[in-house]
Amino acid sequence: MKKNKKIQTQNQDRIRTPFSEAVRKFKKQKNAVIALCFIIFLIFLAFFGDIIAPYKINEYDYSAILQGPSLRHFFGTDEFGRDLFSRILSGTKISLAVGFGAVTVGAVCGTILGLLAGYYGGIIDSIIMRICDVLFAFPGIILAIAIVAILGSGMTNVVIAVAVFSTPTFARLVRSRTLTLKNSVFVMAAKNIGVSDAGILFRHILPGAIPDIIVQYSMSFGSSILTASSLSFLGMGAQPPTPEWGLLLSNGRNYMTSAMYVTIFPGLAIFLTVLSFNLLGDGLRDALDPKLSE
Amino acid sequence: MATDNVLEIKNLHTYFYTDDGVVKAVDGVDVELKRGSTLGIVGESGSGKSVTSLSVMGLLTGTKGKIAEGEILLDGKDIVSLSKEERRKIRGNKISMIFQEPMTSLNPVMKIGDQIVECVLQHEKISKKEAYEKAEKMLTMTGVPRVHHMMKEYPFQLSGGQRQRVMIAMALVCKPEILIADEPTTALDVTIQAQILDLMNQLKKETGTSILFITHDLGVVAEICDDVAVMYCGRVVEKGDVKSIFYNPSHPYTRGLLASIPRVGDAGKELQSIPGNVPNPKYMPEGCKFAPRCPYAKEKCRKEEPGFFRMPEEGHISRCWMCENSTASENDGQKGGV
Repeated sequence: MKKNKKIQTQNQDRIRTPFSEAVRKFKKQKNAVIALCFIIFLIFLAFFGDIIAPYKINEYDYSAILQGPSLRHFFGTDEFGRDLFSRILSGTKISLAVGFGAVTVGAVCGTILGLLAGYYGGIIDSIIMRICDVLFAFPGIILAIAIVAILGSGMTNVVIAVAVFSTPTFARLVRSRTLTLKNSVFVMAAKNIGVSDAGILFRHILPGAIPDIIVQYSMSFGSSILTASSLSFLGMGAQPPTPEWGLLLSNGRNYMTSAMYVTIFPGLAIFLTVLSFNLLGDGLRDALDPKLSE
Repeated sequence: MATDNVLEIKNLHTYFYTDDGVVKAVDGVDVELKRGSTLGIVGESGSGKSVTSLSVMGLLTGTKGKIAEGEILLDGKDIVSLSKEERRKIRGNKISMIFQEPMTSLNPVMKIGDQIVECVLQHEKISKKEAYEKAEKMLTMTGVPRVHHMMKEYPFQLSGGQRQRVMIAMALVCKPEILIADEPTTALDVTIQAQILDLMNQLKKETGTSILFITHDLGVVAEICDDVAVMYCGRVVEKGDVKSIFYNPSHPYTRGLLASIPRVGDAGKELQSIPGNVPNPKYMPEGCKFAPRCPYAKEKCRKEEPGFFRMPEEGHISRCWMCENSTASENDGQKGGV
């Protein structure tokens, strides 16, 4: 009996599910794994950054303005003597939240629009895709600036702006996947057992588009953080004294010649975050795309 | 209207309106499916078999196809004129369908059990748990091993034969009156084919479902069908019960199909084939559509399209001028003619 049981479990272990395949392929890519670790670290900082930070974000110390990196201030201090390390730590939360909020809203809207456009075709498709084409015609940052200019500056409006400009990418992606899947035999089979349109869209077609959405989500996350920071840098996003990375960069710009580190560290934070999201996206794409087999 | 025909297709015309003209994929088909029996629709690729089945299922929306004329009577009631929503309620509940490719006809990201349960819940207002039990019972009936495990597995973990059994379970779980099987055994190897055919025969008896069996394999027809309709170029050319078609084929096309079945013991002899191809639906020949490929074609065949002629056997009719002398023309004579 015991022997029997053991054989059973061995069999269970050997089964390769698509998920375990994806995990295996992902693990093989060192870049992506490192990027993922870094992102997990960032998420940790986003939650606990305020506790770890040695100083309060708005703790002025006029006796130590524009100090270079030292053991007291790891990243030095800014023009008001605020500890840059603490400010960058708590800035993590803001950037991740903006990225998360904007991309999630964009992904949900884009996915629904893409599903509708791809599945129903005809005039619905034309209207949705032409709107997307119009949005695509603008460079992302200019579109975001225009939206913020209309809505007014502030982080909420930045999230809206970035969400608007990430929506069409998702819509296009999901539409093309829907077009392929809606003609597949299993969707036909689902129609045959009388499944409603909504059931087909969300239970049969959407799961097939999830891998593409995940990859695009990760890619958009990086570019959204970059766009949000750019807007803050231009003074249209976060307002002082918020420790947003783009804003820190913008403040430090005045002291570039005398105190370079005030710009280098926030810049580095943005750079590393965006890079790791892009690397993660690349890794996910290679792991999830069945066409790219080794 | 009580009738022993569960499904009657009357003078069905399904046309595809393409950019360069109308393609008459189904052009005047009349067939009847008797309650509890199996009707085989036989023909080459492009003869309109599958379009007929899609018309019955009401799955032409989204394509350029449209039913231009004709009636499809389910239990004596016309379903062509029903709304989209009403048609959806019929699908899976009264008529269901199984497909040619079992490898692709299950959703790869849904568990087997969930797919069958989905079908139950579409048509019956019962709890999820009851539906699950019902699905499991149905799957057991199809004779797959370790049903309990399989309900929680994904399609990629099953073989082709097992998937086809799951498809059959899905199609029959709501006890439909009609099962349309569109070449269900073509993609399976021969031993599995026999098993699936046995299963369909057995389930037909147990559930009382009538089967519309679409195939190009006459061997399968002999195995499973009670009646046969041979289709060519969007119309029925010969129709009758399975014995009369096999013992007394009267249409040259049917004869050609029968002659091209490889036989045991004929090894070494060259296999017969019907010369030529199915004509392009855009450039249909005048007169009998089979005339260009027919070894017996006469002048009359090329000019005038034959109607149906009654053959000596009961219910056996054939659309060929050669049968003209056997009996008088059937009442609906020149329908679908030029």
